[in-house]
Amino acid sequence: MIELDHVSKSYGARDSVSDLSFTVDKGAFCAVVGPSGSGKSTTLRMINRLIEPGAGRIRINGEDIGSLPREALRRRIGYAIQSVGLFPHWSIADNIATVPRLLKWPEERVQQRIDELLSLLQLNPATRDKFPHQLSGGQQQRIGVARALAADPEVLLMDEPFGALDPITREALRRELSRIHQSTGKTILFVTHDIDEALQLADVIAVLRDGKLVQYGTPMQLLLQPANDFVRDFMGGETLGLKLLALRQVAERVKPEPVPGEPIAPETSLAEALSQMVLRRTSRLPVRSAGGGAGGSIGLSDLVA
Amino acid sequence: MMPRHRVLFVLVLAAIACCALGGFVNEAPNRLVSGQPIMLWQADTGLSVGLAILAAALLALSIRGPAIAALIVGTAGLLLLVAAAGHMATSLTAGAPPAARVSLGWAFWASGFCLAMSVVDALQRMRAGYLRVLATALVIVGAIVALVFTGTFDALSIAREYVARRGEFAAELVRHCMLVAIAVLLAVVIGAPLGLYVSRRPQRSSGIFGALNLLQTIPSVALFGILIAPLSALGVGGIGAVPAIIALVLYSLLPVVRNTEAGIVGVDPGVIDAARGMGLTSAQILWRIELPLGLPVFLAGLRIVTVQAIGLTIVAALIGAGGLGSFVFQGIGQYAIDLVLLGALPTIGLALAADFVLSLLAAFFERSRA
Repeated sequence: MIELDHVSKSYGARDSVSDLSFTVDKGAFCAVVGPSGSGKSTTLRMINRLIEPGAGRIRINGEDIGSLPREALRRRIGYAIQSVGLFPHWSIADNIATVPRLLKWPEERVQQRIDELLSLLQLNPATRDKFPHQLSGGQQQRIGVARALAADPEVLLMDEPFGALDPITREALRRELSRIHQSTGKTILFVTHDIDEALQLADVIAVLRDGKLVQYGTPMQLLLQPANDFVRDFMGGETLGLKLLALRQVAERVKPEPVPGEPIAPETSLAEALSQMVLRRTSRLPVRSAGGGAGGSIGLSDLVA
Repeated sequence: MMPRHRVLFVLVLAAIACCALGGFVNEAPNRLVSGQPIMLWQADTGLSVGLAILAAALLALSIRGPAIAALIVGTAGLLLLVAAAGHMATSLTAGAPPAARVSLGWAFWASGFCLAMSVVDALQRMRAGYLRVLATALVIVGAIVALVFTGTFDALSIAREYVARRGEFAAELVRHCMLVAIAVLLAVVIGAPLGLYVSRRPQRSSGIFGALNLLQTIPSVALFGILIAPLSALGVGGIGAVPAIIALVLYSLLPVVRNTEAGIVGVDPGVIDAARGMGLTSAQILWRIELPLGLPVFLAGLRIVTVQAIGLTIVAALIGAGGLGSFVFQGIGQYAIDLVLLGALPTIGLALAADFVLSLLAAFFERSRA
């Protein structure tokens, strides 16, 4: 659990973050979104004290982080950034082992942990002895994530980790991160300016503007009840309805009226179902049943209901 | 027909032209007069025919041919040229009075330079790695050393000068190396922490770099002179090794400080951010990240400083610090060019060797981080 309690930070006369308060529950995936200069990165970097807050308190699992030695705090928190920052003169194994070795784990356990992480991130075991420049951008960021997870931290801080990757690699890594979040139950704070990324990954989203919290809620709350025009525009304005469809599954709206044709899966998103209707030039699609019994269907009017 | 390798073509033509037009060696009745030029073909038919054949082969290779062939023929040509000079001196001095001298003429230096450049050109065309460059250098140096020990050059004037100062030469060579080593070591001990300081406090950099730049603009002779008065006042003595080392250190500081700073500042900020975010302490970041990653740039600075100090130490002889410069200035005083060469040639050799060894070291560290 991460609690921000009236946190402020100013540079000169300008407030970078002002009076920010929100709580991220244990095991939650929180996306911090906002335009450039809204204080997203500053907020993230105050949590591992790369930036010291000017005022307010930050607590992790109830413990005030200001009371901990800085290096000890950082070794308890995973940290992944857009530029990855792998150490170019260290092998991949040594890069991953950075924090476990700082924590003086026995070498046997370090080696075991490297193997675990390579398989968790679905990387070839031969990657171990390679050097960062021998890997593609996507592989480097996988190593960056593995390195952040190495010492099994309670909290993972990620600052636009997939921002520099091509769309296909980015999508693959988002799925990977979703899977890792579900399997490890880490509390993740994820900074991004890409609202689609936030909607796809997060349980809860904090929208920042000019260093202030504009709205804090689940993706559905933000789409259905945007706090103001800024949030509405940021969430996508005209295309807001399509984003809502992307968050919901066919299973919620399926009707027990079988129709012929190739059925779609019940966990398909409503947005994809709409796309299929357009492609197949039909207003009703067959849906495979979840339990294996008789299937149903979904119609164009069911999407809006 | 256009030659494919124009650089080699021009170099070989220039070498041939030099040997055709200029004196290959000079023959004089004693060491103080300049003597008269002897052409390459005048003294020894066998060697000049051999050289002509190699030159023709190199010309053919410049029109079309592999770089490795140009490397081998060029190296052979260079060695034969050097041997020819020694051989000519031997035959010219045979039966001459002992005061007679045979010294190297400008055609020897010019054509030797052209052939050496053709070897360098061939190595570059081969994209030779350090191992091949090292092998070529060892072959050339080894062959010349072998020629020295078989007495090929004994009749040359420069060898006569050496024989007359054998003990002195070894002592001055060691002294020269010691002056350079102490100065470079001190420059690193002072300059590396200063470079580190400047990298941490960029706002102080313009003042420090301004002062170091100013030092570089003082002519070396003037700096050696300027130090005499204040050091005498301090009781250290204005002449000798101490002021020489102080001046050499002052000259060496700028490249050491600048390259240390550039090496550290040049480390990817993302790497530093990640290191801090993972909980490395400032000292751990310095020793494990910044210094290893900045090392190649630092070594490049060390290379500049070492080569520069080897050359500058020549001037240090003027204030009584000794070293190979003492031969140079004695030679100038006596108008004995071969004595000047006895100081200058080993200095050039030292500078080339230091440059090569340090670039090898830099390449090694560059590669180990691949």
